[in-house]
Amino acid sequence: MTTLGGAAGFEVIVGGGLGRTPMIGKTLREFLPAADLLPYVEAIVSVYNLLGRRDNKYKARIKITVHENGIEEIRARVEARYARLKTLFKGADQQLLQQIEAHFKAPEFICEKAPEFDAFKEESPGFCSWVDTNITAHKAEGYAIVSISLKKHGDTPGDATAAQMRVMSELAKKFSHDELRISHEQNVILPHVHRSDLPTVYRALRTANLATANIGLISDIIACPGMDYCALATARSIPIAQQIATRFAKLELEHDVGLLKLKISGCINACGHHHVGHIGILGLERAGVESYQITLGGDAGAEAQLGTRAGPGFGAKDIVPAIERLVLGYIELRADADETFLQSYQRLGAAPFKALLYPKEK
Amino acid sequence: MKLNQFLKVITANNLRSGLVTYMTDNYEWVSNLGDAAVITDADLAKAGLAFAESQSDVVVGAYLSDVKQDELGLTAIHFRDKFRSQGPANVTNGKQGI
Amino acid sequence: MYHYSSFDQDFVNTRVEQFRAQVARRLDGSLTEDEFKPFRLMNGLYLQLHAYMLRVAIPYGTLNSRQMTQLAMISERWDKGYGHFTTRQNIQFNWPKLEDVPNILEALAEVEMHAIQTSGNTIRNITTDHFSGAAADEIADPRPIAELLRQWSTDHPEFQFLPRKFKIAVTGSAAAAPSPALMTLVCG
Repeated sequence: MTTLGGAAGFEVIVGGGLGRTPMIGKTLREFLPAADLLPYVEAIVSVYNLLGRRDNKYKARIKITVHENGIEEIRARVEARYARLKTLFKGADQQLLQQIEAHFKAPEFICEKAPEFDAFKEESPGFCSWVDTNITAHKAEGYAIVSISLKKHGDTPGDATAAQMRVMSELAKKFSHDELRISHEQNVILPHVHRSDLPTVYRALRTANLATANIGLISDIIACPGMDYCALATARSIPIAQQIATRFAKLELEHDVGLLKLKISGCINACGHHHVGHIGILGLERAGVESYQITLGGDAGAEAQLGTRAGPGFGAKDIVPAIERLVLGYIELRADADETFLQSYQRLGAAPFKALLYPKEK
Repeated sequence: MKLNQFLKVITANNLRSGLVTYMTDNYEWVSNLGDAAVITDADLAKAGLAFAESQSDVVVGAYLSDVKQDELGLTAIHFRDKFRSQGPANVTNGKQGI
Repeated sequence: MYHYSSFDQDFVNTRVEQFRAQVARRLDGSLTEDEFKPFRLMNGLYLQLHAYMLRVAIPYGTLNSRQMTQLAMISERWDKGYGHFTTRQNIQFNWPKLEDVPNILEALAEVEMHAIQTSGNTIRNITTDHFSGAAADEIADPRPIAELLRQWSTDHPEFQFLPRKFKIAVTGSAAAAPSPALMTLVCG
């Protein structure tokens, strides 16, 4: 969402996507008034519906349609279709939106001090560490956003047991205005927790094995189900994620390493978003065994960036040591403790990182 | 083991449960790879697969899977088929817990 | 958060009963697998490596406590006691039996959830920032727009057979969480 001269609206980006042909989206419209969103989106989908290729499923996604026809051609077609559709939307959508908005009214936040929070922080280093990594600033004073990690070291990224779901549900009901969120990073969010309730929430989470303090760190890995479950997968993802997390827990280095997005996909369809991991791992089959390819320098942030393949793949037994060499090497390479892995990579380029992955035989 | 030896089993997923299943000598369906009929002849394989495909109210997606037989018993050659025979490694109540 | 209108609820309930009849026809042999497969995929039911997998939509990643409790119940009663939260803000159950799926969908409908359009060449679940409505740096809460898009795209007659799947993300934050420039269409 963006604003132009005080009016609310959207920047519309189209044709991005990961998968076997990753592409960064292109801006179709720099500014679309908020009220015109639905006819405009309908115009995009209907242009794609007619123009998108149906002869080859690998060339059927809208990213290919945009790539093959060019963004100007798509824009011209969408605008023409939009001009027609706009007159057909006579405001019913905006009435509906008003009704919907009433459902999403922000809860009434109570802004008061949280002495329990400060006291417990003094008392419990575990709580302190969890607050550092798993708490995000809330728009209301006195409140916090809690990220519940589903990435306990050695567990399956994104999995929750029924008992854990019940604990999270109960906490949401008591302490987060009955709301939970699921993040694309496979964690669960309690969006509106008063800071004075954080010690209680932390203790309950800890009892349920849900208080791992690792949001944004190397063990907060995105991983698709891979060949442990998925019929499309070409290799496993989950055991690799488990081994990396366990290894870095043992090294006790991940807080020192800091922000590092590691993402694993078990096939080129890229459900694990490996293209946009600071470190991406793609599981493939090579000569009848699992093989893992590393990409470096991807970024899913505002400056979206696709990672670059570092070199030949690693076998299932070699991938975790390779990641360890890479990350330990980064600690030596970084300018200071504040320079993240991605920043180091961007400053130094791929060469020193490739040298870590593929050391010359002595 | 000779590499070009013809050694296959017929596998599919059970229609009702979705679970991995193997065809036995008696044309029955079982969950354990070790109990599967080992087929050593291309014509028998073709006939067996045709039978499996005719059982579309019992199983789905039947195919021939390469196996080897050694002192450990019957194991799948391709790692995908091996995982199918063992269940997911991240839980203890997958296929292992049936 | 959003609550179903009677229209939404009737639509979802009807889909459950339609699928119940389709499953019955598959199990009694009146539908072949080829005939049945599109029906199950339209209800988010895949056949994976080891078992069926049911992908349930969590619209724009938002749940209330009752819905989360219901997911726990479903995982215990009809699955193996766990669920997998995905990179598209959905949840997947890894071990449902075909004949149980209509009951699972009914249990989901009870808490205003469904598995419609979590597969196939349609407009999939709309994603948003997971800190929507809470983040300090937010321009606006994108979820009302995401809900509007959900209602518009669900069962949209023109868009049930697109050339390929189509994904929409809406973000209200400049430092966007679901990577705006990387989704098929981002209103951000």
